[in-house]
Amino acid sequence: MTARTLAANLALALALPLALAAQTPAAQPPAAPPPISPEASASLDRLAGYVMLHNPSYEYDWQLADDIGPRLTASENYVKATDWAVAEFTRLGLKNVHKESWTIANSWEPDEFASGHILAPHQQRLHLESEGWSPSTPEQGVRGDIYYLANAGTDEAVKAQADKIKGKIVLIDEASFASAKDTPFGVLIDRLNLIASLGAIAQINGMGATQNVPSMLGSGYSGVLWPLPVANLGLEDTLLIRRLLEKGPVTVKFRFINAIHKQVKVDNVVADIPGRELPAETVIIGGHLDSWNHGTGAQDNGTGAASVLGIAQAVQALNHPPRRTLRFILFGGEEEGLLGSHAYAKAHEADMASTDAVLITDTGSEAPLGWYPWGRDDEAAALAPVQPLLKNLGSNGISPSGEFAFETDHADFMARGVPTLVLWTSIEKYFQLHHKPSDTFDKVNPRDLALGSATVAVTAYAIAEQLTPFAPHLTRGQVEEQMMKIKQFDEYKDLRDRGQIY
Amino acid sequence: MKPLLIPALAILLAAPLTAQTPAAPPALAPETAAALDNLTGRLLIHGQAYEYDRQLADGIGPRLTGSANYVKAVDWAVAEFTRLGLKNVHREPWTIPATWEPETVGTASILEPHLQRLHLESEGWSPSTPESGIRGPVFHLPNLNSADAIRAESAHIKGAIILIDSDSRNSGEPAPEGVTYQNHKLLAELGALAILSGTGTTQNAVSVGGPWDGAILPLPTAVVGQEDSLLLRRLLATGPVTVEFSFKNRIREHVSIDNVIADLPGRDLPNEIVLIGGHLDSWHPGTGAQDNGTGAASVLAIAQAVTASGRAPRRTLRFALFGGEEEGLLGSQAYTRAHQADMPSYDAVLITDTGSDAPKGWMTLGRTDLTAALAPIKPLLAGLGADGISNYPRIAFGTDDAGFLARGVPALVLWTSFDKYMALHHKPSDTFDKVSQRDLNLGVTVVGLTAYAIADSPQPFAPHLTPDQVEDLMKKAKIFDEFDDMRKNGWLY
Repeated sequence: MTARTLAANLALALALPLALAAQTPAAQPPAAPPPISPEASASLDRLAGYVMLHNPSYEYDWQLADDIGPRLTASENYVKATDWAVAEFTRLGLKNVHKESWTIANSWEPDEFASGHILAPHQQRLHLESEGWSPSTPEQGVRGDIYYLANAGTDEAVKAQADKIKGKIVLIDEASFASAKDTPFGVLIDRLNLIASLGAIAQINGMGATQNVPSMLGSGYSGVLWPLPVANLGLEDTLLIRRLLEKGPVTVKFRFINAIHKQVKVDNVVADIPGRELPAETVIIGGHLDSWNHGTGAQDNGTGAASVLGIAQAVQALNHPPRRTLRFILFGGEEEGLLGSHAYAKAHEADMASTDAVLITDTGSEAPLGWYPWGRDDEAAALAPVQPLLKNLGSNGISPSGEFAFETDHADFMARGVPTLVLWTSIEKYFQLHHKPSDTFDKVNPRDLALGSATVAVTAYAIAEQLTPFAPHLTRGQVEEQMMKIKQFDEYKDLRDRGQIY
Repeated sequence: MKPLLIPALAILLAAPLTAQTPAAPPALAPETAAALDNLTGRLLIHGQAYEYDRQLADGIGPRLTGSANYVKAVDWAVAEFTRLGLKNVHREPWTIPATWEPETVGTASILEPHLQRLHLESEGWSPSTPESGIRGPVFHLPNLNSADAIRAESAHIKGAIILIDSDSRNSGEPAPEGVTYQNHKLLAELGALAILSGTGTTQNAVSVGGPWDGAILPLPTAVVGQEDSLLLRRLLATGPVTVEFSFKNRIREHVSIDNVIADLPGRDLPNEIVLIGGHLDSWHPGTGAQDNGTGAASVLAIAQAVTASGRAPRRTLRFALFGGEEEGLLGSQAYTRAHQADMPSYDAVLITDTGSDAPKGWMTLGRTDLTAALAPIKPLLAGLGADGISNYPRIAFGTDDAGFLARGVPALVLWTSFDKYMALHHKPSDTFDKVSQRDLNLGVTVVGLTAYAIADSPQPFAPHLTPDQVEDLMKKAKIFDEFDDMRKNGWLY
């Protein structure tokens, strides 16, 4: 999952339990969708049994997280991961296994350890790292007085502080954006750029977590670099600086060097299990392969990528493909703005009509609860025949939440009216690990991962096997209504206006 | 599960021990592996355990052994096994010394030092109080575990209502069940009026227990809630306390009770048996949704799924629902006595009676050869979170495996998380709302696939132990005294 909202982790962590409380589908099915046939039902039993007993997803995540390691988009490890996925899809006997490339504005990787210190009022080490897609500092580092931007709620509020921003290292944290909770992400990115244009010399994102560790926010858009050197500072250090500022000026210095390349080709990985009867119709099972760099992305999104491969293995073992083609896709550049899935949807614009459904898994390894259909009652109704099959897995719920509607790789498909589902899981520990050094394989619970993979496998196979299409494709007007219903219209419109979706 | 007089915490602390495999057992045959995938999917995607437990707990209700509800549950299970197409579906009767049901609610008060209501119910299998109730001074027995310590208190015991709480039980050496049983009888001999068992739980709710052998207890025995029990202790510290209580129980002697048996005949070796069992009876304050609705429902759900899969394993799967477990493992003891001569043909016995928390693996009761024999399916259990082995020994006599274990039959008891088990155990809160559908079905799957894998293997699961080997096992597990005591009381053979 990306970290689009600057109002950040705490708000997200607080918001989702509300969704958990209301998990029944809002709308009653207008007409009952056809039941699952006995043959399909038998296939689903075998498929789920394979996923649970052999747990291929767990083994794949192990390889991704521990053997390949962190997978920053376009990094050497990322390329290794795409090669590994291509080899594995090929070994499993999938068809049409290939890479689909697109171009990111910049690739980014830390080259040298970051260092940082408070110089005044006393000397003390700071726990900071380069923010993702920050330019390097000058060789000798940046040095300056801190200005804490307590209110970045509006452009006007920021401009009103122009004289204080000029020449300073500007510290922002979650509190700075407390009044901007519903502001589209793009507008917030523009506001951060505004800080640079007002003459700040550098920026510190006080968005790190406890134990003074970083928690990555990431790039603005499309892999564009931040205009200033931006550091990501641990929570305790952020709070210390804010306390010190109450008593007097604070001077800091920090330095990091990043390896940056412009206009780099990045690959998505695509593989098919051709449909038995309707090979031209496609059900996509996807998730992103890239990760942040501090942990190993075992959760975000090792679990999702591993599920995609694990399900491919399980369906191959079944040796009985469903009616429609199952297309397995691993996307890159998700953490930099859903770039891989955006590139895919754009390149396959003509295929959208034959894309029956898109199922994305990107919510970690906790126990599955069901699906996010993003407010579409027709999808919830279409899931009705599948839901009884998910009950014993604990994942027969439907989340009414639109909270994460633009936070993972279904978004571009959704905006084009394609029926999309994102796996809904418990997120008790998700944000403790999210984009942090603790996102490692030891946190992955094999049972919960197997249950999540089984949920995705059963749902995707059932949809691909049904005699009738899953749900209608929406017109642009209908998508706009959907966005209003889930209170995501402003975000949707802003992203559309910027060309970030479509 | 029948409570043993040991702290529940010990169960939580029992670490999973992984035994060393002496020689690797053969890998699963590909056909078996495919059948296990299929069975697992059937249990997880279409499994009916949750629905069966709902029918038992909400539809039939509490199932005291020999009660009308218990008989209803027996009829229901027979009908369901028959509907599923199992063979040899039948009842096997045995006789319990007494059945017991409360006829009135317990009423009780502290009379001095001040008047106050007590939260109290009859203990299971307690005789009724006299019509006019029981009234007398309370004496807190400091040590229940030694006859000498009890005799030393003779003067206080005579004519008193004896309060027994966890302090009484935890003083001195922990005694085997039979010794505790004898010490309760001793209290009657010494002229005690009645027993107040301070084994209730918080909110002044009761947590009932019962007899050791299905016989009526020697004295009227009441269970008092935890807060009341603590109040009595505090009041006793400052002066004499008098209480009064009354309840009436319906007791019938020498009643015939049915176990329910059903078979899925083996494909190749129909005379060899893998038994999947659990008890059908429950206590009455709740509806026994956890103890042992989940276990009984698991037995039926596995029967349903294996039958529907259309592929019987090599050996016969025998499904057994026992009665009288809560009164001393009586149904399974009766079964092992009646089938004594057939025990060599029992390849393994799998018992499920540990509630609906998520499964962790199997309790092998100290038999490392069973751990080794489970190795081929261990990787398959990992995805269910259930590839662990517990050597926790005290479960040996805590549920229906005991009679089989004592006869040397390889026995496994499902090992689950115990996060909420003891909070519900024998209490009014043991109801269907506590059952997690996912965790229950994960447990069912563990039992179903383990039983199927054992029953479908070309070779026997593990050797049967000789009586000497059983004794050695008990000694090694440090439960020989308990074993010997049960044996001497005639509770095992």
